[in-house]
Amino acid sequence: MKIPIEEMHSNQAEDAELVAKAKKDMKYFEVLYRKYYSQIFKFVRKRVANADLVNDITSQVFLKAMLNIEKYKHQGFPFSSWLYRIALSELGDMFRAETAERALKVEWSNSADLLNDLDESASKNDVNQLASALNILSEDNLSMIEMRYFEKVKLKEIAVIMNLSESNAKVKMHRTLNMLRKHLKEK
Amino acid sequence: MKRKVIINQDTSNVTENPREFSELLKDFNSLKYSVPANGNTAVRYHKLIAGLAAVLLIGFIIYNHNSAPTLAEENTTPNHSEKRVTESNIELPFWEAKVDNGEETILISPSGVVIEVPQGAFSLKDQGLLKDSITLKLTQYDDALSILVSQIPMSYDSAGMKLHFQSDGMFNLTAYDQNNNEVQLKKDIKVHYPQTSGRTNSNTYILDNNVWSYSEHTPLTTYAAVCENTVYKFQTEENAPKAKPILNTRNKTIADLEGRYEDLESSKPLEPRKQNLANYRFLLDVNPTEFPELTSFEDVIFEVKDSRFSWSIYEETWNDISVSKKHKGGRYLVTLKNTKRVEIFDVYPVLGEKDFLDAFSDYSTEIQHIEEEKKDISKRIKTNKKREQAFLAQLTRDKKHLEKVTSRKRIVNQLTANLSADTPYRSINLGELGVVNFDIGIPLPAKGIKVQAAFFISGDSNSVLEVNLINLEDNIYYNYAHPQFKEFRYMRGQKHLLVSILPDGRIAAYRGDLSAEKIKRGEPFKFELEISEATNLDDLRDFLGLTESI
Repeated sequence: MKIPIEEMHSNQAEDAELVAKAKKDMKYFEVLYRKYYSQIFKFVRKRVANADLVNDITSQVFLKAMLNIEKYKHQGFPFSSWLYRIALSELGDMFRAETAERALKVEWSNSADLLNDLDESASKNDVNQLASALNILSEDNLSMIEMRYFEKVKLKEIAVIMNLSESNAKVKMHRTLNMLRKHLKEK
Repeated sequence: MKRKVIINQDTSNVTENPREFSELLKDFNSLKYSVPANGNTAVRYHKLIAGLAAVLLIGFIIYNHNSAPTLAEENTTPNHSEKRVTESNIELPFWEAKVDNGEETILISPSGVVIEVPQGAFSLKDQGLLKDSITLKLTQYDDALSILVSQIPMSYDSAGMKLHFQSDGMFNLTAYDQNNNEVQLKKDIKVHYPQTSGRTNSNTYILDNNVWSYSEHTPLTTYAAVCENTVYKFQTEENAPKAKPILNTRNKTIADLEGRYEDLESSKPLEPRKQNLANYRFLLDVNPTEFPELTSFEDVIFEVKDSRFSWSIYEETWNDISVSKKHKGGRYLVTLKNTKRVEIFDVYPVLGEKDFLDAFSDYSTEIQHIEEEKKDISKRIKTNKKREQAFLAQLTRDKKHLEKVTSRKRIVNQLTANLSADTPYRSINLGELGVVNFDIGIPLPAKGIKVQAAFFISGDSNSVLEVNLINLEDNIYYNYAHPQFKEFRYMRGQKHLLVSILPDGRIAAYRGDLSAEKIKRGEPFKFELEISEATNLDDLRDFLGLTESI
């Protein structure tokens, strides 16, 4: 599943206007809710193993966005990136509290690029080892790898979603890959 | 706590089932003024709302004096809310200062906070440099009580562990243009913040307003010894680069040149005139000392150009005839006197044909020399005047520079005075305006007296949805939100406060005895909270029995 980046760039001005209206009257948020529900739902579904929680968590992301809308400032990034950021934070909280279980899809088909960057072969055995290596990563680092390699999100977009500068995102990605390499070698 | 990961579980069969927006809006309205927007809590609320009528839910969570306060039945970990949206009625003091965006400015607040603002530091979003004056607003939260009523979050997620901030000071810096539009930073500003707690191991955190969470910020310097170096970075009168004045030696020369110019103008030789035989004339001897300009003329003839003159003047006997200069320009006066009268006529010298040609040649040569010298002098005067203007401009700049240096010197003196009082300063570069927090992140207290508690409002049916345990000595507070607030820990021998911010913004607090003798380990205790109508920090402190700043 790929985050529809092209949609992230869609009509930011329209979103900014809706946000401004929603700050005054929350009923205007409904348009944003309808517009982005599906995107956030898919993003959450990819990461949560508990099928019964996916819709709840998605709603919760929007509820949190509504509660925080006063603090939202349009800084040239798509509104959806803010929703993704809230979703990541929400999921991180739930996984830590074990309220939800973390789903991770690691298959040969989506792991080739990552294994290549890790200087590993792409055999079935390697894919299994990769899954176990990914399990050791912190939620932040795992999300970063997941977005970059499994969902093919550009590093620039990841930086926005994770509230990092692009250079910091690069450094973080580099360190995470090193961590994975080390773990795979030790195995 | 480590997450549980399920590898390759297929969840693609889960279909979208969005809640009706009207339901979401209901949750929003109920949560906005009551409970923390904590993820787990809110999901639970959603489930509760789905299963129960809102009235029953409210009834479930409300404690009031009509129903017996419920005591804790299970051990739960107190949970600090990440964002609380209830705003307290307490207005916090702030300090404002005007900044000219076109100039570098150093501000120092009455509390000793120094803010270095570079030239052109502010801009409106997506717009160029603001030329207007900017109002910089500084709000300080230097104790746990002011931090609590500010409702700024005070927890930090450190590698999955939720830490609570023990504050060494916090501030919020905002800026507005003349139309009251919030402006942004275009350049970093530097803030030197006095650390009143005296602790030296706190970290610096910046609050991201968008997600209402903190990121750690690297301070430039931390403590007095280091900060002293920072302070001396300010220019003083001694180390400020001195402007080099242009020596004003030419000023006198201008006067000299102007004098010389005047002399040349007045010493111009008389332009020779050729005689006109049709005019009346006098042939007179003149004193060469008195009339040096006429020395070149062998025989000086004065022609008369005056309508009063007639031939009869020649026929009359005159006892005395004299010549005098009338004015510049070659005009002379002939005075004729006899016993009967005195006649004065306007005359001018003329030359015969041969004399005229020689004299005119000499005259032309001399005039040419004079004009050349005058031209040269004019040029020199112009050049020197330019130099003089440059010098005066430099003088003005020097004066302004000196004023700035003097002002900085004053700041340095004030800072030095602050430093000499052993106040540690922390210096940070800010790329964005907002909340900056100097804190140590610590986990919830694992030691201390564990108290099972219930909270209710004295004398009315207001609900208590969350309480905050403030440890005055450590300058920290812990937020206990429903339902976890049934149990908390506090340290024996340390001064605490139990404060709640009600949905209507009023403050409620327990004003009874919180001593260990009164409240014993493990024993259930009912806390009756009293409501304060305070709208400012001083009144609230009075209400809480705090006579001095915590």
